[in-house]
Amino acid sequence: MIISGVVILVMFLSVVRVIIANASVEASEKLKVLDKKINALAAENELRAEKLRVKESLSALSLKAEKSGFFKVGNYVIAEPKGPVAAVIK
Amino acid sequence: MNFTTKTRLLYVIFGIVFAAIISRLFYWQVISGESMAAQAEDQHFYTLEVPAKRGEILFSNQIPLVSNKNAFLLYSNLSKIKNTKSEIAEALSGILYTQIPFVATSGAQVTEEEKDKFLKSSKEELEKKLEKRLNLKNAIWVNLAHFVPRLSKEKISSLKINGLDFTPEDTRDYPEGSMAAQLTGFVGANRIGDPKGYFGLEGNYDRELSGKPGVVKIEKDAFGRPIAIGSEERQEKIDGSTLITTLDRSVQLFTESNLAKGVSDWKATGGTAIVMDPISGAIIAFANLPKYDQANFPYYESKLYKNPGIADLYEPGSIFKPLVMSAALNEAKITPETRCDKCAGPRFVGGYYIHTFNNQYHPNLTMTDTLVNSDNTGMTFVGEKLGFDNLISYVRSFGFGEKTGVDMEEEAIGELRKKENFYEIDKATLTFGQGVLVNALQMVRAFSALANGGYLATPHLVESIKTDDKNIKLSWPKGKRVVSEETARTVSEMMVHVCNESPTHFPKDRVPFLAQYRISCKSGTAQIAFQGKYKEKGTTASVIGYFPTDKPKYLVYVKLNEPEVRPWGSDTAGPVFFAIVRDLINYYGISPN
Repeated sequence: MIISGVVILVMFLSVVRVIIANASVEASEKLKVLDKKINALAAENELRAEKLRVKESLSALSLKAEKSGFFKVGNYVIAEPKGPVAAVIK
Repeated sequence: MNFTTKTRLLYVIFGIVFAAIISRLFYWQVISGESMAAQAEDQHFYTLEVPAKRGEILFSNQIPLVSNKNAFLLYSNLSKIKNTKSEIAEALSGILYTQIPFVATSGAQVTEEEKDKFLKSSKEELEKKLEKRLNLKNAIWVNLAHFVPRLSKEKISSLKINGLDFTPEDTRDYPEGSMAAQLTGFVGANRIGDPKGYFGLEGNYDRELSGKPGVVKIEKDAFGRPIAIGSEERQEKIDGSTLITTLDRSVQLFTESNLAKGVSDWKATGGTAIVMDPISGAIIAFANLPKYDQANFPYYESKLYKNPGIADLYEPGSIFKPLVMSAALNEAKITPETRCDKCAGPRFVGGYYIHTFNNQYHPNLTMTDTLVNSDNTGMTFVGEKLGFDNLISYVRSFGFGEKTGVDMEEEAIGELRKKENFYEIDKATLTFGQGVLVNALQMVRAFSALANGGYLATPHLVESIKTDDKNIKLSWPKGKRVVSEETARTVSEMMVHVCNESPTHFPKDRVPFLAQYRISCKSGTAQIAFQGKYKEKGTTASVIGYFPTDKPKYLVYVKLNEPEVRPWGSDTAGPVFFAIVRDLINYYGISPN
């Protein structure tokens, strides 16, 4: 009686294991697809960040500005206020 | 043989066998236990190391100075190669040779023909190297090139050569090119080939930047296949921390470009320019020339790796004078109005004559005029009033002969001679900055005391360290007080006169018009000591100063090495100094006084 009970339990557990394994295989397939998507997005993100860094580079921008004809002014003119810019009229 | 003898013999045989087993067990368990355990573990588990991402180095506004980018390791499975090795080497070198930089001495005139010649020889050299690797005997896998950029990878992949493959690997990315090269340092490899930071911030903060690699252990079966329900051990990687520096990207850019112009205009062999907040010690910009490209460091001379602003020692010359003057003022031995009654001509000290730089002498000149005229005879008078013991004690207090505390490697401190080793002439020349070796940052640190009211600031580059979950703000302690607040203020005022009135200083046609601003400054021209005597030609030309004088916020230091066109600090380093000051005024929108 006990032996047959153990055999039935073992068989039952084996079936449960197969069902769970089967279910998790399906879930892991989905996970794998999601994982691939995450990796692809991360790679794209990294690539875009890399490109952005190149475009944002101040050294590169300054060279570009120079080539476009912009130049630095040696002396700045500092305007000294002679009187109030706006006055209240009474 | 009777029964007893047989039994004894059996005992002996069993004993020997037993001893052999025990000794073998001892050997397995104790002597080679560790390697056997490792072997067993290797048979049972896959162990994969997950590399940690190296931390970034950011400017103060969080824009990257050093970042990471994806690159690829190109390798070959030799058994799968179908083309001839020479064909593969030729095809690969045709793509990869463009990665080899053209390195020329700064200012060198290079023709297109010379460049083409260099590229051709680089390609040939690379082709030979690759062919040699592909022909390695008894090898199955060989690495052909590290850090192959994405574009080159795509070109190589399009060739569809059997037996070549790639694996991703991170490399450092420098969005601003070689900007601040000697501050950042670079990442090379250690003895076992793992990435390691060398020099500058990469070297000093290597532990923080490296992080900790992760480990994954998966159980495998007899055929080496992973067991799906087997045990798995996982130790998560810890990515490196990010350094947030005190550097301002724009200030660094214009400091570097102004320095480059100065070096080129005056045909100097190199130079250093530093901008620091004299109160906190935060380094806002630190430029050096010549420099190297961190991304291609192996192609440059290794002497360029060190930061000359902290690693090179030199005699400061006249920019040392305000420090000696402040010592005498602090000891109440003089006032700005004290007159020198020994300055009517050259002074005879310890068997030598001390002259002024232009052989012009001013009887009864005041201490302020001593600085304005950069008068050496006046300074020897100050030295006599102060006394040598006091002088040497102040020189030490200003931080000479010790490290500045900056968070970079490779600082040289310049040992101070013992008091008893100073001859009379040395005691006199020390008052105008000869006979003492300093590095550029030591000068900046010493002047921070005059700018901020009397205490030494600690120069530093890193403000905080950012990990995944927290931001650790570093504290940089205020240094000791060297002079009183009143003394600092008095010397600062005297230095305003230097900036405004100096007859030989700062050629007006070459410096921007900044008359509305109160700037404290001093220039210096020092001879260069070489093999026990001074070089006949070549000087160290420098200018140091800070502004706005009433509440100094920026301390600027410029040094040019051996300017060929003119030797004087005021003429050569002066325009660079004022150009940086002008750009700081414009960038930070500082109104006149």
